[in-house]
Amino acid sequence: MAYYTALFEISGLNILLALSVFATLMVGQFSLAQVGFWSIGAFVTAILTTMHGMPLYSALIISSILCGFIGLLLGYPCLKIKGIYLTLATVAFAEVVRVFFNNLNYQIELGDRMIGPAGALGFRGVKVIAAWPEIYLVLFVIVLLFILLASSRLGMSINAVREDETAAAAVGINVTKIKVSMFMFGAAIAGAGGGLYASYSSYVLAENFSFHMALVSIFYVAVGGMYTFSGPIVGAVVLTLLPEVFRFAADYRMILYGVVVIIVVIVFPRGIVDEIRYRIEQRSLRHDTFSDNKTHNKNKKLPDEGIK
Amino acid sequence: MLVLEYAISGLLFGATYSLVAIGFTLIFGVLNRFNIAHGATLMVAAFGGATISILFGGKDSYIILIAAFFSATLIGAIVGLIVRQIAFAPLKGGSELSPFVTSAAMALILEELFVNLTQSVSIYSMEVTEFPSPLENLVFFLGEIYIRGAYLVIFLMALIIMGILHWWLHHTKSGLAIRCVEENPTAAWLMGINGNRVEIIVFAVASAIAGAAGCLISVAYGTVTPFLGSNLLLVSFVVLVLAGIGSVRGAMICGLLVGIIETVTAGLISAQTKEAVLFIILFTVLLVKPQGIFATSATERD
Repeated sequence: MAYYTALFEISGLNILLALSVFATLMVGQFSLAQVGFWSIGAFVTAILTTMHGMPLYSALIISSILCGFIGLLLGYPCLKIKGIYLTLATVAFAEVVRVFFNNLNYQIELGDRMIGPAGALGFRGVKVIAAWPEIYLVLFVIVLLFILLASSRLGMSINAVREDETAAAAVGINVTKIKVSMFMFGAAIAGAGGGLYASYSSYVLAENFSFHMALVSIFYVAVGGMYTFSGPIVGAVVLTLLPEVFRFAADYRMILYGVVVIIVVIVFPRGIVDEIRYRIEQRSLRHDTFSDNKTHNKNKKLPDEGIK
Repeated sequence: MLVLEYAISGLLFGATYSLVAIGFTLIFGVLNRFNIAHGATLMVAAFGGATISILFGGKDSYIILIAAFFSATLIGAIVGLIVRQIAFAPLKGGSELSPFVTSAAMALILEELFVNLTQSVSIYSMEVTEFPSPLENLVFFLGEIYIRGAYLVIFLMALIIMGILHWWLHHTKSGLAIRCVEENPTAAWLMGINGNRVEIIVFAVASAIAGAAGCLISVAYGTVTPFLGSNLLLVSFVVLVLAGIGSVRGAMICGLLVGIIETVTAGLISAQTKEAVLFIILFTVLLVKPQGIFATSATERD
């Protein structure tokens, strides 16, 4: 039972990471910085709860706000750079954060031992105050935000920016504001997720939040789909459970994992969720063309290619 | 004096960074996509070279070393073509994200494979596998400056490779075809250049260079690990941005520059700060001059 609970909890954490990547992808920004924000969130929450006795939720809120603010500082200058250059800038950010926490030595005496981030040894003995109820409560709040976003005017502007920046600007959408605020939103999600991770796992090591983890976070979105927020959720759950399904392959299970990622991306170029949605809608479209009421399909909207 | 010594060894070692970045930038120039598996290709080739050196007693034979070098180059080319076939060929015309993901997954697969192989094959060691070479104890003195023989050899080899590449790109028909596709794929296609063939050639050449670089780097280190490639991939990002993405000539010079910066910071401050310094430079260059120091017209297209 504990095994399934742990899987459930880790899935929740990975969904948070996937959603934070998705938030930036929603406006067409391909960021590998989420791991850096995740790392900041983890360390800040761990320091606040363990060393300063702060309750979990206030620490999470502070981490989110801090990450959102850093997201603003990073997002503004990064708007000048586009496409692959932006991705490289975010890699640089995540690497600098990693090196920073790898060298951070900030310990205080608590009881009979020293506690706090100890450079490359990481932060041991973080107070464990998060399990599945806390993780899924935060996740619920964030999913709620995404649902609200999807049905709001702001959500429509976001889609417009993703599809065509110039056209969006032409109809009076403030592209800069939308892009920066989505970057901040993604950063804040990662901050909260990292905080939950620290409070869940009791041990934070900067080396774990490496380029490798950034790549895996992109896998979640690519496998699930990047058109609606349900894509990253499905992707994160599938890829969290996959290594467990491949337990029979022992040491070689991560190889199988990689193979499955490649196959899924080739077979479902839009991601599992969006590809299925796309095919269903296309079938019904084709069906409508042959039926009598041809006016029917005029209002149907097809999910586009996604990120260009 | 110490600074000069660091700078010289950085310059010599930096030549291998140039090689890695050149391969990366060549593939980017033609496909307009990142090949995240480039580092893993390099690592597999380095293991190939190490295997030959271990099996045939490369400790004191220059011939074995040369054989190891050429087989690493060949293995690099083969792995590169496999990567292209699996991660790039089926995704023609898809989104930018897909080849990024598939090549990252290829990198993951190759790394995991070699983590497992180093644990199960007896000639490899668990953490770091030795790459025996006769260059290990070779040392030169330039006045008072101490120069490792291995560094000097890899520098010369890298220069030769870059020279051949430069000649090939600028004085042969296939080189011209590659530069055409880089400049404007549609116009190249209209001129009757077979884009697919150019892609295959570029992948083979870029990965062969990566393989050669992998062999040279692991000879200089004296060891190989399954994670050799992912570290070098990050360094080649820095070289790439400094040089301007797509600029081969820039990559040659900036690789040396990055080598010098890295070794001098590591020597004067600490080994941990060297990465931070590199990435802060990357970030600053992106903000101030995103097209890089050696920008060419080809880099302007998105």
